[in-house]
Amino acid sequence: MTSSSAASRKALSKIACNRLQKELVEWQVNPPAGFKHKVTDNLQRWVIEVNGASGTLYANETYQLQVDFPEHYPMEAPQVIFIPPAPLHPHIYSNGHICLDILYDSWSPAMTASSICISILSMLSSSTVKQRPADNDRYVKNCRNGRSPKETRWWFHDDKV
Amino acid sequence: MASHSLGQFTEGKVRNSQRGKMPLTVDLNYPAPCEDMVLNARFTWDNSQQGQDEAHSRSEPQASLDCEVIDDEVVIISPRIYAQAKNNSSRNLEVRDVPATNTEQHNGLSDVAAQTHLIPLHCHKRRRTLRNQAVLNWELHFSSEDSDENKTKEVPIPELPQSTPPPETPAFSCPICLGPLSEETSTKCGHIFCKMCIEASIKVQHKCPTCRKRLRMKDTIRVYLPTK
Repeated sequence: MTSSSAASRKALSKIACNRLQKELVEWQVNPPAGFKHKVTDNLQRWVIEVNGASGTLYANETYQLQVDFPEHYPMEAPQVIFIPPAPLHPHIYSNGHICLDILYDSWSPAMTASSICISILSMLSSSTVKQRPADNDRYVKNCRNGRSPKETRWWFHDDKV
Repeated sequence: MASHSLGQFTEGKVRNSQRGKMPLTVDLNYPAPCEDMVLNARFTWDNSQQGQDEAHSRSEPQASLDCEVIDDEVVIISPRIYAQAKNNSSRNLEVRDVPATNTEQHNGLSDVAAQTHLIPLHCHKRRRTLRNQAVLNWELHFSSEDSDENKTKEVPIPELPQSTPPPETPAFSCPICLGPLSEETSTKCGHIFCKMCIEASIKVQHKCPTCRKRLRMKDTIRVYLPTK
């Protein structure tokens, strides 16, 4: 699904490459709590292990995030999805797509992979129910041909979770 | 004010006598208090002019030979007229190549005529005398350069300054490229980025990357952070 879209993606620009190398160094020096970067030789695709925060619905659970960086990162947001099985959450679809504004409309070039991870953990931690979004089946069906979540026209209606 | 102008003046005289060649260029009786400013301007202008002529004289080392002849001419001119003309020409630097016809227009005024007639002659002269000064200074400069080089050779600098700068540089970094700030530029909301980074960012989205405040390119200003 996502591997095909990643294969067609353009290589990182020099600026993006420099910035990602700096981010990686910063991550190694000061990793965000609860996350583990799974080392690969691919700078453009990061796989990050997420540990649910203790005291939350996702305590002791581990998920995997896949972060794909576009050619013009950080001017353009990375594509961030959970590698299925995705956590049960009102804003996370079963195909791993995450409904989170900073990944799309509210992306800012001053954000980093690390800051995204913290936002996602915060989103998980503030959840009060473990359930899929109401339109999960319809959405997943529409994305069946491997569409990127960045092509979705998201509607950010819920700021509580 | 009066004492100040006198001080300025003695300084000028000392400078001239140091040059040795024309001790009478300045008439102590001549300047009115208001002349202070003009004299000041003249001396500072002379200094700046030396720099230019210095470079010039390097390419023409034979200039020092000419000066012997020229200096004799300078002494002949009465100090008052010399001061007047020098004064006059320093006010009108761009008039250096004034044609004779121009000076004739002033002939009606006797006082002015005495000065203006001198302008082309004087300018010519001053340029060359300055060249002489420049040569002298150049020699001084040259010898001082030499001594500087000797000093640097003697002093063992190598590793201390090289090891100290690295900790200073990463004080601030650009939130967009995460690198050291290059041409640091502030937004109107006070957030600082590299010029290139904020330009690229504003092109993509018209808001501040840090606080999301609405932003245009004209809302940014180049700032200069202290280096220490």
